[in-house]
Amino acid sequence: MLKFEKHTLKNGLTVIVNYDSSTPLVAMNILYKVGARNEDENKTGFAHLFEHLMFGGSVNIPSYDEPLQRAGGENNAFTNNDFTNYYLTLPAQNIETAFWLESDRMLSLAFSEKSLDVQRHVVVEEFKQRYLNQPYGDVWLNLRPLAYKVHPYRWATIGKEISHIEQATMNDVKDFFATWYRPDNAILTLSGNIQPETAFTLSEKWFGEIVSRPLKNKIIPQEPPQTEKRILGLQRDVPANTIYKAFHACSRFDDDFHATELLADVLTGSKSARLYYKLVKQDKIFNALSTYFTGDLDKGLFIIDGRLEEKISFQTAEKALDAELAKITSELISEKELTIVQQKTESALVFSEMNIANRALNLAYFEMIGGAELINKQIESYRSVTREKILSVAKNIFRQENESVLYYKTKEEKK
Amino acid sequence: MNRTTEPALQLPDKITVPEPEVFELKNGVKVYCVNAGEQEILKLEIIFRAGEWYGDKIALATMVNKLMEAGTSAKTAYELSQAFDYYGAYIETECTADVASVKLFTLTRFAKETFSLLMEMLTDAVFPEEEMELFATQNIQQLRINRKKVEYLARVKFNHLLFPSGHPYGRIADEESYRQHSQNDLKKWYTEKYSPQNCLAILSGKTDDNTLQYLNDTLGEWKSKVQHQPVELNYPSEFIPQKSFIPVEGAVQSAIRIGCRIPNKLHPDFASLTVLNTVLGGYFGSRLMSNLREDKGYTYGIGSATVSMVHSGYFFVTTQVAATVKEDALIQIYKEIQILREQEIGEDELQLVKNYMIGTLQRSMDGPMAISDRIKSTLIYGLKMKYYENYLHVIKNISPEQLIHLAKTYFHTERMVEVVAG
Repeated sequence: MLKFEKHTLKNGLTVIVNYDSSTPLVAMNILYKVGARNEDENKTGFAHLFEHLMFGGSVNIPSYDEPLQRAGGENNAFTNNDFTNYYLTLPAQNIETAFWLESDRMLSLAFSEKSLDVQRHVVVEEFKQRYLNQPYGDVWLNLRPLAYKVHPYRWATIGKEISHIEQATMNDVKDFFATWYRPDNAILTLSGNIQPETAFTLSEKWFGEIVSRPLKNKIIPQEPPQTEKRILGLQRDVPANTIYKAFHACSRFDDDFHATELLADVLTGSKSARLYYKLVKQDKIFNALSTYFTGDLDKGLFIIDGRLEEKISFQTAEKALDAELAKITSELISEKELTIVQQKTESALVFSEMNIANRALNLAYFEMIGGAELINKQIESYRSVTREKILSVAKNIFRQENESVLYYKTKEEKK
Repeated sequence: MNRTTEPALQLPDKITVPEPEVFELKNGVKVYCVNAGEQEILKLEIIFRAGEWYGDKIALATMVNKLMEAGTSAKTAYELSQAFDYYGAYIETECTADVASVKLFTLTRFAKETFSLLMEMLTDAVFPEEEMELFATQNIQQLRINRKKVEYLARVKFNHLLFPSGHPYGRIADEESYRQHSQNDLKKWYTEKYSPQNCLAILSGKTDDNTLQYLNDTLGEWKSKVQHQPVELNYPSEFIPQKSFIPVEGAVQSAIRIGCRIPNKLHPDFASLTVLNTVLGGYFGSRLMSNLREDKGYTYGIGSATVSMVHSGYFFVTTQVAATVKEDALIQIYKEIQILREQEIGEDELQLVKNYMIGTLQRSMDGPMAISDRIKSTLIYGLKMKYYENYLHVIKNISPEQLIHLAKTYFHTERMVEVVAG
């Protein structure tokens, strides 16, 4: 049970505090409700590029990092399809430095040309390092547009192509800031050695005067149901053939969400999970096999990712995989399988509450999806999933017409 | 409101370095205990001097460490995994060049059941042939994938050049490494190294009245089958400074690694070298990041580190840069190292680094499981948690004069190992 207090400023900024006197530190987390799904299809990768620019100085403070490090703090940020998240931890007595820094960059950035120029290069190098210069690095760049034809999830957070990043202009940057970086589009959370009243007072002092701009919410086009199986073959300089199956699944807000997460665990959540045990250990079809559910705010994907054993063909591998999927869509899982995945999930949740930075992030995330109090209802939600529910979810997901398959082939194999 | 002035800062004069409680079990095994935290969870880590250092067979130490999970005389790998799963518990095994350990993460209320399962792994593992074969095929495929990564190629070559001639810190596994050991080799290593005389335990999290009793009933009952023989081995302490280039066809980025050996934690200079390293490449605002990323945009990231191992230590710079700028990147890295030898670090910069490091030290001890990691990283050197009080003292008091002296003593740009891949 995570205790917290919540307060909303007049400008719409939500502030949530989890007080913990056992630590000398405080973690602060600011979540902005903007991600790659909010981008224009001709300017992809922008939410993430913008995250880099948030460190290029703000209107009154030339450097973000320097004062924070001088205060003994450390910070980072990440962007995904749905939101952009900034987080820091520092000694509790210096928390005001965090309020000063974060409020100034919410107020306005410095919009320095040098910073934009350098960060374009840095992000291009990030693109190369993570997506181009890695074996299997471009899988998501190809799998997303195969599975999504309409929804902005069809591009990766890094962007569709390097040229989108290279062409970003200062006007784009200013426009993006004005549209999304507003107090009423953000959630501020704190966890650690700070009393809620202190945090609320400091929030009023530093963030209270920031004016909310009118909201220009663009409607995100939703993906229509897929009607036939899609197939893509790629050939790359990689050592092992790999198959990726992507099925459309539910959104984070759907009743099926918890059952879908448990389904992924039932299949490959541990070495005794059924798909892993059968296809990796027993039949030696795959060398590595995992399944996961993206759990995005809009309808996400259920992914099966399997690296084939050396002498196994794609055909054999897919047949074996489909036979297992046929089982999970026609028979109930055992009581024991359900108990195991529920127990594992519960213990993972308890472990995730240990760290103050995690707590601050989780509070912000749950506030975004409907209210921080949901954080304390998770265990109950997973416990109430039944075997019948998992069967119905599996039936709904594992349909041929709902599937996109990527055959990622080694250079040697010709097909 | 004045937004241009930074709020007043305060840094802690003292950091509370928690001393663990030490218990001795019936069989003499020492348990270091950190009972703290709000959540009803436990981590039990059992550490053995069973890293690659203690043998000359490449990858054997790792295979034994990983394959303890692969079944006992009473349970198959599947049954063992399912037994832990049933309690929502999980096992992590870790094998460094120095020590091998097994970590159990469990809800406190299942301590009794999961401690027993852990002991089954530690005392009765059988290393089935088919599990050895699966381990081999999985590791060989992973190795082939790693060889397509410039970062991996640079890293293993660098370690090999820094620790040559079969030194355990510089051995490179190849495909044969995973198939050359027999089941008997594994069993022999397991019996010799994984014994109560060769281990220590760290228990962290929220214990209850019974936790220690359960530990005494399980780990405390363990009797050795063989008398443990401490091994003392010697490997060359020298390396030959040299440059190596690994061409990679089609690479759009080059991985760079540059460094040299330094003394480890047991030497008084190690803590000071860590301060010097932080200035150079140990944090986001470091000189290397400011120059190669924030000024020139050559890379997504560049960093440097001081590494302490039980029998040696080393310093290294690492980055991946656009292939077209690798020559200038190398020039800039050497230039920044050279500046440490020639110019005193300014007061402001040094103060910032000191403050940042004090914050980092505090963060590294936040919560019982973080503390348990700190305990481990002193215990394996025979040090106590007092080490961190001294470390804090060094951070706070080191002067620019001392740092320039240190750079002149340890960082010779012409005596580095340099590897570029791609």
